[in-house]
Amino acid sequence: MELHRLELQNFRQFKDDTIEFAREKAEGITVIHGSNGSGKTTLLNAFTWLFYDEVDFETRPDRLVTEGTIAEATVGKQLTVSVRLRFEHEETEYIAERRAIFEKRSEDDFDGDLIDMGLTLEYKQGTSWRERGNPENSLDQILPERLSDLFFFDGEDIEELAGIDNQERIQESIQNIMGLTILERSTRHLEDAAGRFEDEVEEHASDELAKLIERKREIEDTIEELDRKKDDTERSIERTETEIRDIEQKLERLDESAALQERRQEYREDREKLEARVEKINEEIKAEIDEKGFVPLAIPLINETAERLDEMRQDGVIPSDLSNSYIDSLLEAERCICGRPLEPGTEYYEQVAAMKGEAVAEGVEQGAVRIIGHLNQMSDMESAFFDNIDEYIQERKRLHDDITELTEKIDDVGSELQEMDQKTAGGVSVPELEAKRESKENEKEELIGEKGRIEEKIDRNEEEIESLKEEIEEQRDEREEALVAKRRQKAAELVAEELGTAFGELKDKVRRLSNEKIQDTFGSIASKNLTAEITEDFELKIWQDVGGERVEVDKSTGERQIASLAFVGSLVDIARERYEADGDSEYFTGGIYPLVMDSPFGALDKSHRREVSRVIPELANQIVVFATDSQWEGPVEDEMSPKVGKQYWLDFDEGNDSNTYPRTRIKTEPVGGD
Amino acid sequence: MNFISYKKSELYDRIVDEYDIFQNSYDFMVFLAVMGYQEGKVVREGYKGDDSAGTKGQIGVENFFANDLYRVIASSIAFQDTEDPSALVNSELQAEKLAQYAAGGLEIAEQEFGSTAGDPTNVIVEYIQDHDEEDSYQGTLGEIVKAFDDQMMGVEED
Repeated sequence: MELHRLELQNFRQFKDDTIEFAREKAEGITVIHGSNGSGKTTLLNAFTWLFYDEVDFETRPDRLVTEGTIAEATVGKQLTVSVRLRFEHEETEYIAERRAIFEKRSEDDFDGDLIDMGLTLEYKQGTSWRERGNPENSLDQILPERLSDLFFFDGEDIEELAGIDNQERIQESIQNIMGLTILERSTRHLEDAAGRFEDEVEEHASDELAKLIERKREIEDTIEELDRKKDDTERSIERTETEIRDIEQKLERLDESAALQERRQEYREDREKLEARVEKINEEIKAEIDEKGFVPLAIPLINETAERLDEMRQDGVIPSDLSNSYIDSLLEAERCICGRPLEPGTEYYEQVAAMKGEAVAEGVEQGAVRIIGHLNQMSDMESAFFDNIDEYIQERKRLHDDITELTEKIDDVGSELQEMDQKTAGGVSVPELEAKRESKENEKEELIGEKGRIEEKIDRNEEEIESLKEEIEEQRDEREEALVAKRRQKAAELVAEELGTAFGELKDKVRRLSNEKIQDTFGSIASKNLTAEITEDFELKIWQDVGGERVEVDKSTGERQIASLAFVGSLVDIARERYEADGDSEYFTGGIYPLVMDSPFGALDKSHRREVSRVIPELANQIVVFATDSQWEGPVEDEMSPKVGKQYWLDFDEGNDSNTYPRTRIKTEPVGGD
Repeated sequence: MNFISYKKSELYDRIVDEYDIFQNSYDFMVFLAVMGYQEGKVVREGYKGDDSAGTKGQIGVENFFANDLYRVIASSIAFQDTEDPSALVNSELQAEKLAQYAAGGLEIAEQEFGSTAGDPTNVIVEYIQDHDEEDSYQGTLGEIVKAFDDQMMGVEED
């Protein structure tokens, strides 16, 4: 998709204005300069209104018509608001236009009543323009609404992408841009279908079966509810963690508390190390139990057995394999060891033959010998087991003592902090900060406990679902309709499961691709040996290389923003590559997209502005950037100027109450004042 | 391949899978069998578990008998239970007896560490330490305990 021209009529403070977008690849950036409140965000909203009938205004969200226009109109007059965009998509030119008609109801009605709204989409065929039948759908195919967040974004909160609790957004972005959503949707549809078949089963089922199904559904609802609760709790935990980090950073910045806060951090790190050692010892203990734990308990058994076997051997109850074969050889030779002849049938022959043991299976003696032979080994193992376990337990106790000591020291730091009187620039004292930190810690602990309880409930409910499913499966007294529906339900569930697996694999594939890209983009702009990564859980993380070890970095706003932009850039890049590589898969088509960014330099310091400006031109073929003069001047201008194809300035006139009204004009020359 | 069938419970999942205390189910089973033997607890019926109740476990005989000590344990249990030396060479009988005592041990284990919240490793260690007969009646302390026991018995008899 390539943007050509945007025309606005009576859209908020834009009465009648036009923007032509830069389209040359080397100079693909369009910059729109404007001071705060001059209409930058309104322009961003013009896109989302046109495409999806969505706007997000902070002030007077219902007022779409230009204030001046409606103020000057007579009561009963109908006014047209329109946004018209000319663009090219997959080698076809389009004009999309959304029009809304408002009627002024009274003298002091400045909002107007919405009378009619319509969207048209025309496309060029040869030299003539034709209209598309279903403009909403067509537009959504060209730029899916779920992608809009990614391509029309408010730079001031883009860093959220790399902030906390945004795995979902990252996942969603990944699947959106790759067209994977279709798989997700199919899975969902199949699940819905399975649900409908279940309705059918229920309808035709016996009372008992219907009851089971109802119960199963109730539990499913409960689980859904619990899942939501769990997500909320997780978010709260993360939020609390961020709050704690923020407080600690404040303590680090104050002269009085800096050293103490740092020391506390060291203690904590030491404690973590000790805890890791305890964990290791626990594993060693488990290994001991696995290998030798049965031995001490088995010793009496083996002893008794060995003693008994020995007795039996001595009594000849257990024959010696050796003596039996010796006797056999004597009988065969028909001569005894004493020289007497042994003739079969004689009494003497029978006496010697009787010396052979009972007729028992071969190997009995070997079996007995094996048991006796292992006595020493078992006894050695027993001692080793107790020695090792004692050693581990003592070591663990020492570590626990050390951990307790460190915990006390950490608490002492807290008490010391409670006695300081320095204040932050905002007037908050160290004790206040520390007290707040502590209450946040407690809050976090409580939340973690809460999460555990929720997880337990989920587990229990899931177990119940499993057993209900089995019971439902086993119900036989059903009518034909119920049986058919049940089979269909089962089929739908199976296919949904299969698709779900395929979907997960694809998503992971794209994640890995996107990960490679993000490394490149992020690596080229970020300093300090930083690398960015999208983890298996779809978290955007930043790592720092510290003496060969990879440490996760607490992201500053700037770094978060860079990481987020690098991520968006990586997706745009993958989609573009995919599109250019002759789509070999219908689910994986990709596409070329422009980026429209409102204030991407908003909260950044100078050095980060330079880095962000360096990365933005790499993100997409066509870029529209909104910026205030103070954001633009300096490093941003230095870096981006060579790639800028068009520039506009928003000239905002706030009007006075009586006869002039707020209005922004879009100009091609700089206007005075910021 | 031949299998030894044994009675399984949720405790197996906890001890073997969740907390990784024993590597294999059969390692835990041997432990349970010696426990059952030591405590004189044996289950003669239903010791193979019930498939429909999900309590049936199976062990490959070869896996099991590949361990020398496990062979010693299984043949000792079978011999003690039957008092027949031929049990020493009857592996089918050994498997059966092992499963019977393991099912007995399982009942004790459920009581001893089945209700432990969290990781039961320490409770298992303590159990082993407490049931180490050799050590508990050795040395001076052992004699005192014994003498004390005798006295108590004497008092009761009077």
